[in-house]
Amino acid sequence: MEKLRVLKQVIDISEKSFMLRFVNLIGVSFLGVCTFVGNLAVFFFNSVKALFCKWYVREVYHQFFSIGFFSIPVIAMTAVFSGMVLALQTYSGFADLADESSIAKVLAIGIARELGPVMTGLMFAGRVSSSIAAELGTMVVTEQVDALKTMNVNVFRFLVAPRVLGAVLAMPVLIFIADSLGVLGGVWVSVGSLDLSKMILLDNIMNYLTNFDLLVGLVKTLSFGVATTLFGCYYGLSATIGSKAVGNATTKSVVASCITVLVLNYLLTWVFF
Amino acid sequence: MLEIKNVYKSFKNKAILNGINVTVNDNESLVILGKSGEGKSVLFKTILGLIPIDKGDIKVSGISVNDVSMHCEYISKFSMLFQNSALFDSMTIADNIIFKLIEKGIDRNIAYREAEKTLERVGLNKAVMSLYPSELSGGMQKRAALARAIIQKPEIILFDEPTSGLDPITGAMIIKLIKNVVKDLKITSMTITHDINAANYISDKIAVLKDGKICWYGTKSEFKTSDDELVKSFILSSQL
Repeated sequence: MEKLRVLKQVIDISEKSFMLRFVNLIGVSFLGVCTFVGNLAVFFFNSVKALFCKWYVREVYHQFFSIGFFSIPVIAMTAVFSGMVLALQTYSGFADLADESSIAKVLAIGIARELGPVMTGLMFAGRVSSSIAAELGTMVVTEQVDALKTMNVNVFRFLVAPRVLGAVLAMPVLIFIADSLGVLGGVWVSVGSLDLSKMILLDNIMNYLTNFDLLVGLVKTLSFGVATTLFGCYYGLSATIGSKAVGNATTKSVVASCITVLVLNYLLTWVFF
Repeated sequence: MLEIKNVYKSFKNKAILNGINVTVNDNESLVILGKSGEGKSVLFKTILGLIPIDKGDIKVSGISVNDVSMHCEYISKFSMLFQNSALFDSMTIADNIIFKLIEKGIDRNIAYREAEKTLERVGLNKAVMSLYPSELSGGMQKRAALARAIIQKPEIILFDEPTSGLDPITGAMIIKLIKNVVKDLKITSMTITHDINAANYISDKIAVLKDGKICWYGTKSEFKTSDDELVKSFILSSQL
């Protein structure tokens, strides 16, 4: 009996200890989330404030090319293949309904409003956000950011604002390329493999595609560009000491950017629905 | 004059600076000695205001590091030579050196001419101006970083382990260069180093940091004859 009583007491203590650890875990997680949201809000506020200060024009120009020009190949490839797949999938669905002309409508609206911006956003997150996080993280680790601060240079003005402005300038160009090549990829498959008339297809695309569709795509792409650039800068400048910190910053920035692209896409689709 | 008064700094309840008190007079060269992890680099970062202090005050010509409204004026009195040079690797050497001058609104051509003169002073040829930091050796990077530091005409320069990562011959050349530049330009300096010979060569005063406090302070002649155990161990280590 005595042994049973002791065993019960031990179980009670371990249960209490488990409960305490559980509550502690919730508390720590909650504080962690609050700190993260607070830091992010302060960072975004400072970044936006920096956009309204005097610009480092040379840096903006450099970032525009670095972010925009060198993203063209990967975004072009993604757009072409997405357009081709969309054409094939749409045909397999609409052929059963004897409504092959709708391929043009799906292709135009699908690429301009959804596939173009989302694929551009995701590719941009993978290529640009990671590269920004790695570059700024390395600058933190090698004390280049401290060197800037000792020269009394506003880090947000010199490092963050040019990248955000570079993205804002590059995104319209990138979405134009993505939309054009996406549609062309779809048309090429439709004409080459599905024996549809090129003239009818292009005519239908021009009829169905409205300025509003293009505007929705542009707004989405700009939002994705700004968000992913800011995440890259945030995680890069938050890097601690060591080469592992740069790796962590890069991974976190890509994950956060991709999730943000998908969430923002839903929210903006809902707004423009 | 740089005054560090009763400075405290902790990270996660671990005290790194535990009541630092030290004064560096104008045109004086102070060397800080201390084992690794004693908070020497943290001290420099607190002096520059990169890390906020928990308690105490740091003043330069009467301006406090804690006075946010005077931050621009406070920080403009300093330059720093970082341990790994910290040259901006996306810029050429010329752009690195003239960066602060351009920030001040000086014409680019005038700034370039000034950079040429400064490079000459630190023993670099103007041919390096168009190169990127990664194209230079460690010693040349240190010289370029020194040029970037002195072109700003600071009142005080902080040297964070200036010979770190250099071979003994290049290290000695850099130390010699630092001493000459600091004396010629009449700049107050503070140096962190593990190199006792370098400390003896460039210092007017030496301070030894232990457990976040200045545990020994004196002139270099006093340093050589000190009975303090820690000082003795430093001197002994340099003779090994």
